[in-house]
Amino acid sequence: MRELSPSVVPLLHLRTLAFLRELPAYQLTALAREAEELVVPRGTVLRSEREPAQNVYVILEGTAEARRGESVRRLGPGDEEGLLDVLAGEAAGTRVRAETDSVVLCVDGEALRTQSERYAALLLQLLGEVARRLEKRPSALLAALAGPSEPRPLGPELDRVGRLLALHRVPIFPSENMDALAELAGPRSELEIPAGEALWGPGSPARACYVLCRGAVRIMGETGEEIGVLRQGSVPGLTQVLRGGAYGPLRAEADLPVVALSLEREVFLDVVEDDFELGWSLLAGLASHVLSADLGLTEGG
Amino acid sequence: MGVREFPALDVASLESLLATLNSPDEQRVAAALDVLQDQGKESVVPALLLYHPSSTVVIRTLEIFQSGRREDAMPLAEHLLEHRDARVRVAALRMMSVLRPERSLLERASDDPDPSIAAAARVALLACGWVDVEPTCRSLMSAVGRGDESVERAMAAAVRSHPHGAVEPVLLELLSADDTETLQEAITAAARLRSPGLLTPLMQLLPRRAVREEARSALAAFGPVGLARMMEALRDPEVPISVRRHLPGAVALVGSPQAPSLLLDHLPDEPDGSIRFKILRALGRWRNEQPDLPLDRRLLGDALEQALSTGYRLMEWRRTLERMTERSPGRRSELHVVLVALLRNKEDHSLERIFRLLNLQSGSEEFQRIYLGLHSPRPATRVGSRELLHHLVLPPMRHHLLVLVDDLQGEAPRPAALERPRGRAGDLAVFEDLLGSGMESVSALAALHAAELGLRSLANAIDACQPRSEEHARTLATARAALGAEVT
Repeated sequence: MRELSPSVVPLLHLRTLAFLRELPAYQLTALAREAEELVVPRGTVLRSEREPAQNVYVILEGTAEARRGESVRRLGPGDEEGLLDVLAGEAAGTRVRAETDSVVLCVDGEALRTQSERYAALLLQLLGEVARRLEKRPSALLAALAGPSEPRPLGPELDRVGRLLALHRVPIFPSENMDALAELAGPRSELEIPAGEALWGPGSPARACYVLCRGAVRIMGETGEEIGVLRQGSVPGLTQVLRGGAYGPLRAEADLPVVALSLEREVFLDVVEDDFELGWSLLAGLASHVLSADLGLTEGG
Repeated sequence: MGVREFPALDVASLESLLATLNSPDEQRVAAALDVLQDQGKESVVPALLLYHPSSTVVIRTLEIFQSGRREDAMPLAEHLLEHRDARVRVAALRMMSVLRPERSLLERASDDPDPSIAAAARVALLACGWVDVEPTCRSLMSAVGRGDESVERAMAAAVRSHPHGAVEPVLLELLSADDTETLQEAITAAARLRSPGLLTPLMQLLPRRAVREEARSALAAFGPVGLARMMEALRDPEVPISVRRHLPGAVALVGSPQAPSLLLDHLPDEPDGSIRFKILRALGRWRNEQPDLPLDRRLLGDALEQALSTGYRLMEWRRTLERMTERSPGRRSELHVVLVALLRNKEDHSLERIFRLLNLQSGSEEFQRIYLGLHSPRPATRVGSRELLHHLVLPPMRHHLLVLVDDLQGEAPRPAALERPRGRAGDLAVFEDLLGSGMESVSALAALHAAELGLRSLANAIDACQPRSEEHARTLATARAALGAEVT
């Protein structure tokens, strides 16, 4: 591999990646400093199946192939490889090989974490990107948002402790970050939704996600087809809150009368911003679900 | 090289960027334009880019020509006044009104059937002193909040382009808009106008995530005047916590050499833990950029001792609770698990604060690296980091810090110095501490856990506990009632 002289070119390429576009210039610059442009001859193995993912590659010119077991992905200019593996901290298993003479941008995975810790905006952009990818894989989305397999009933009152217990039982929320969960449990946020009522209008802005304490919510696709049912301890709306914009196209309707905690987007993202470990663990959890879906490991919703 | 600077633009990079301007992908063109502008290379952007089919690219190019004062592009901009997209017409008019303001053109535009063009023209006329201030301001202000975002955005961008005292009333109105893009333009305008009357509205925008970064930068742009007002607000308990919480981040952007000392002076008086953490984070960023930054070592030492003492206290409470369930595994309820996890997480946060303070004291990032090493999944890295810590920290702090580190890693026996009286008396003393800890979640969890364990002798301690909120009072009452029922 031949390394080109440092230039602003990595910065330009990073800026064209949709999920990094909105980062302030100085933050993107800090990340670009950790990236290098590589010219690789045809046949170069960028990562062997024995190595865990330590870098994210963006193909700038040429084509490459990412092979994991039976699954093969062809990569062309603008395609990225390795982001989910790096975020999920996945073990080895993917082989990435240049199919033609190629130019590749290489971003160090450890630097991605360091810069995300330094600049919360980057962490939030990554969370948004992984949430978007998860939404394109409905069964994985359902698995990521689902409650525990054996839910226990909560007490009658959802006071601060009740809310904290409800949050503690959400599998996708890392239970070791209890201080951040206590912060989320602070504001009173209980709401009741009668059976048959929608949790959100598809076009309305995603202002909150919901931690189900009682009842069940039916998740439906754009045309009303059922994707699955979420029960106690699940968090419908989480990916929409992370990526921002409107709730649609997924729809959510109370299947049984629902009691839920409403986690306001602004509060939720502030807590993630203040507790990096919470955000990074959440990112790892969501990325793992996307990877599982791509490997066909996710069971149907 | 500071983190906000770009690497030098070499000839090959410049060629690559200029080639990218020919891309059919508007996002790539926009990215190249951003990089060129960040590099101060507005002069190399070809004027013919104004013929680009994408409105986004044309508007971005007009902005760059406006800030780079590219008068050579004026004839092409004039041509764009007939563009099919009103946003392009507004941007062209704005650029022309800044580079070469022409009264007759603006007066004609102020009667344009498109309200966004008319609003932009009126702002420019106002700033140039060609219309009566009061009626024009009144008419412009009445357009804010009517739900027409294109008018608000055009007005805000025009105000940003003409930061003149005459437009301040309009700007104040725009700073209360709902639309994010309008607010971003208005905040940039406020940073350029820098009138003291804009400081409070800017601080009130800090809780809004979508514009927080812009609001912080704008506040910092006010320099010493802004710094004084922000510190005043930080010290004022009447200022909402949602605003105060984001002030350290804004203060950190002020270039004043006094700013770090002012924040450090406030640290011991700050009652809110999250604000204290943000102060440390802000100081850390300064320290990284200026390793020789002078900071009061006595204040740092005091803060370090306080953080260490907090960490120890949390460790002692948690270990007592753990010991309780070691003796009686049946007491390991969900409340117990959550309370222990909460105390452990808080203890870890105390350790993080300690390392941030050590970084500030040392003037290097060495302790940050050690902290990361201590959290590494690789045992060898953790051991190496601990050894380094042992080497770098002097007694008596060394011993206390290593006890805390070992405790969180679960790799050392509990030190004798931390022993509480064993058995029930020690347990009860810890519950009393937890109830009165001043941390609402900890206190509420402890009260309910005491109730489920039937620790009736804690009834008086629960009665004596000062609730921090109505909800806390209700939880304490619930716990007290449960214990009372057992007494009878």
